[in-house]
Amino acid sequence: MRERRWARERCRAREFESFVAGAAGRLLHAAALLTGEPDGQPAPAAEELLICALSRTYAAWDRLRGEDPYDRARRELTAGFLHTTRRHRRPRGGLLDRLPPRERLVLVLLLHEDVAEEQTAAQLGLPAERVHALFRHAVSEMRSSRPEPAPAPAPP
Amino acid sequence: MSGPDRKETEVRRMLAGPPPPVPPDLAARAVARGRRLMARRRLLRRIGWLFALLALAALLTWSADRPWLPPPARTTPPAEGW
Repeated sequence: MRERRWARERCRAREFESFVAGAAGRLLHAAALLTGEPDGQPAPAAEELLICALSRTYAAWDRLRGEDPYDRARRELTAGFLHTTRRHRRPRGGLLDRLPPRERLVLVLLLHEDVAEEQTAAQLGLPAERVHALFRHAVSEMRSSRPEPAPAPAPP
Repeated sequence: MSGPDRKETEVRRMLAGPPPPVPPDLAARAVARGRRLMARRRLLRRIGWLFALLALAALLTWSADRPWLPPPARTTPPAEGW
């Protein structure tokens, strides 16, 4: 019984690690956009957010029942970010710094992750029109605040 | 029609900056934390079962001597004169 559990655990860890090897780069990028950390640099807050989401994905690995693990990890990431938005309000020198957390989330889900608007609305618990308005506002804010990609200042 | 699309493409391009470097131990840390999470959930589930079984045992011992029946009457007057 115990041996079988160990075998299953090793198998799950192997599958999970190959999934992470493929998905971590993209998910970490999305997480760093959410936490507002600058591009191309180590992003500790995003790592923490992602590890939390991935650990929950790992714990649910045997119960995914055909759900795409990437979708699951992204949902966990979104939920984790929504829980901790207060921690990420402070600017960190990233691209989406001047957007409020919810607009960042909508922008990242719709443009970086290509999630449908209805799905985003369902996950945020908002009506689709509200998500659309947040998205429009975020897009116009981004275009007005950054006419050209400025070099990100290094955090102290 | 192409107005919003053009704006979206522009912002999409802004989002596609260089990604942060992925630390090599990310998966291992996630697995370790995931295992702790599962162990905690397993423990909570076991405690829940334990309480359920204890409640069932308490119910069975309580109901063993049928306390819902009325107590035997002690005030029956002695039947005399028959």
